[in-house]
Amino acid sequence: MMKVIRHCLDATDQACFCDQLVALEQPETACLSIAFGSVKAISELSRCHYATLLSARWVATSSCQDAFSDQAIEGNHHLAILQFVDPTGAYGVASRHSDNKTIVDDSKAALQEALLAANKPGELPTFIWCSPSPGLEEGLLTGIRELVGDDVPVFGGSSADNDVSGNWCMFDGQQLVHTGFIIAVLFPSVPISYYFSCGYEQTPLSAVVTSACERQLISLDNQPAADVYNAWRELKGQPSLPAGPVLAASTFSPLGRIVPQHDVNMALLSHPALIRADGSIDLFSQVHTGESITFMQGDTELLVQRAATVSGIARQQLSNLYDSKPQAAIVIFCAGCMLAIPEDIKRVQQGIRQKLENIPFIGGYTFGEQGRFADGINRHGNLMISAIIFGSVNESV
Amino acid sequence: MSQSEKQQELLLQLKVENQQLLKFKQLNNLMRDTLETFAAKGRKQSPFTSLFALLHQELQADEQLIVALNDDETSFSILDATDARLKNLAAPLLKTQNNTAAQLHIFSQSTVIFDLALSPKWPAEVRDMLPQACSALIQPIRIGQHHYAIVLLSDQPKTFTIDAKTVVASYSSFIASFLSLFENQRLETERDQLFAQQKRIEQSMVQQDKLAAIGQLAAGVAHELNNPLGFIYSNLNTLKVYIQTVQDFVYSAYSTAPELKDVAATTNLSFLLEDSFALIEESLDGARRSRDIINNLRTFSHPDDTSVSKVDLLELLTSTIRIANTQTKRNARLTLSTDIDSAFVDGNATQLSQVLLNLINNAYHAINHKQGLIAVSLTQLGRWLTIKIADNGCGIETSMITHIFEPFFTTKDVGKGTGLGLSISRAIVEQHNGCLALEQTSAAGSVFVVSLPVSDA
Repeated sequence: MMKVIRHCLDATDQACFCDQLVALEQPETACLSIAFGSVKAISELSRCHYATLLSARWVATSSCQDAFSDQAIEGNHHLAILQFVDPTGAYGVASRHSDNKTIVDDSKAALQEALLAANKPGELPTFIWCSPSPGLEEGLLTGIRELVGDDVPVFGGSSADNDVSGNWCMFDGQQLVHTGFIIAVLFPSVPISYYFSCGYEQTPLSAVVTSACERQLISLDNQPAADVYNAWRELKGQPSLPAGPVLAASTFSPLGRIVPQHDVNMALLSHPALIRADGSIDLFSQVHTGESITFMQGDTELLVQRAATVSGIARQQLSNLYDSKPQAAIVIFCAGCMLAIPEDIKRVQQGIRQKLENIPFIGGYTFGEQGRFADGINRHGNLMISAIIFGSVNESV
Repeated sequence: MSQSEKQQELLLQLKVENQQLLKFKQLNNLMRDTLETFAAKGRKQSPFTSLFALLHQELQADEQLIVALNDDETSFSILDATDARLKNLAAPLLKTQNNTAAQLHIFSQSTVIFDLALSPKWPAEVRDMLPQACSALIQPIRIGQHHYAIVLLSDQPKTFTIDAKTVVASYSSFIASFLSLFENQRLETERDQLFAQQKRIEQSMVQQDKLAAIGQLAAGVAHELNNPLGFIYSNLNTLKVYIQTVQDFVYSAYSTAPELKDVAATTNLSFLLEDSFALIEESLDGARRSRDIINNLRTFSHPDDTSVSKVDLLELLTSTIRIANTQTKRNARLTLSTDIDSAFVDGNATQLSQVLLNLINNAYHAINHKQGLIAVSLTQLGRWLTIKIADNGCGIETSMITHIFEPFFTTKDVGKGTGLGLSISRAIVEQHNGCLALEQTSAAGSVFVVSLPVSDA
């Protein structure tokens, strides 16, 4: 019988943190632990050798500021852990230090290594969990797609730090990775449901990308991208943004890449980070020439409600599709959104707790979100919210 | 949340549900077609043929296999496959350990393999037979204590989806029905075979009882007849000497008293004397035949009354054919063919020669024309030597085939055969741990086969 156990540890003091880890030791070593924590918490975890006694494999990702869970604990450095004890399942983890040039090949090689670690080489996993450093997300997803196709849902969150200074990190149980990724393959004995969405509304303002280079949006409808973006802002009563960093200022007015899904257009958010002097915009995700871009709008209430709604939909799907009761959940919330509503973040967590009906959950504030919409394509987006719920064993599995 | 957002959300939800419905539709199609197949074809067709057709239609598998695992799940055999070459292929299973150290093999869990080249668990024997197979969907099926799996294969990588796995998993109870049908058919066949075997054994036991009774009777009759026949034979020989003495005396008397010839003529004495000799000879001949019959009966009762040695069957055949040829050459050509240089059996040369002579004589007697051919061949297959005696005679009537090995059964004219030849021959061959059988018979001739084990020495 699979068990998913949640822990939330205070990592402020290293010795105390290690003691807490030791106290968690159980008769059965967990097959996998997924964790979020502050940069300090992940670093402390990598230094505490008890980590491997607790779990054979880790995907521990640094969160912007701190992790969150259904347990409210004081302090700023927490490690929120979901331990998977699943004797009849199979799990494998692999990690790579990587860069933009090698990410696709590294992704494929690591996925194969993870499958081998799970004793399932060549077999299609039920679920893939990933933790990339910012900038490598699209390449990571491309590698996964090239090896196994798009049939397996891939979810995860990009590692983050507090000030986009590059201090983000990930720990796989063996090594600390700063620029690279960790990938986990799951063959669980329980069903998993998920939902991936944004907390923003589309506007009628849209244009076609006429020039782009990876994450740099150069022109929209043959006009400098920044000019079009600022024109849209003005139309919506928002001030134009000058050249320079715009990450915080653009949080409630990001761009949305239109993802057609049959007769529904879903928006995959792309967060403007920097307006360059040449009128181009650096984004937190790739855009492609020919794509439709729309101006998105959000506000505090939308973001607060959205996390709860996403969690509620995922929970409902678990019941509808698998007739299964939830055991535990992971919620990914974009760090940009969190930073935009610092006063209301407790309400976000309350909303999630309420919708999940007090089942244990952990979450992190990430610098990029990976998941898939109903069209079955795994994507990387910004300012996104996702919820993944692990069910209980029943005959429908 | 705005109204448009809510509508989009609802539409997405509907999309998800639509995907689920499509999956259920696929499953429903499978189940409906399965029931129709069962209803239309019943149990007459091979059950897997329909199953393979249905799964191919819904899931586009290029090849399909039904695998049966042995009881301890260390090996498997392929019960049926769309590629006939794979049928009955058997191979060991590579096992690996999971987190709980339980032994797992490739057919133990519902699995989608996106690239078979990456999977070391995929059996090499199947890989060699189907090198073009790139991806697979495997669904284990358990029926009672028996473990099976259905394997769908595609020549393209990444063919089977998790949804397809769910559909096949949901459909597995129907696949189990096909397997149960197969199991039932197999059990029915096994039962019929066992019934047939039981009938044969019962018939054989009746035959054995009959043979034993006849053997006992034959032994008793032979014993009882042997003594009176002995003194009949002896007395006839003595009588023959007496008559000869009387005849000598009469002829001597004629020379001393020629008038006796007239007296003898009136009593027809010369004829009486001559006829007495003929009568004695006929009686002696009858007694000799009776003695032969008794000897045959004794041999039938006790075919093991002789010593055993290593017999050169090739030499035995050559010499037997040479002897038989003196009789058969009038109407038939007798040939011997073989592709082996030596052939040794443990046995009694005299008895084996008797068997071969019997069979050759029977063949000869079945030939009622002048272009007779009796072809004797000797071959070896493994540890068995096989002698075939084929003739181009009149064959054996169908109604008589079941009786030819019964004692005293003969198709020859009265007085020409005792009806003991084939039954004695079979008894002798069985005594040598071999078998004698009629391989085929028709109006164009018959073929008898003698198989004997090769000498261990």
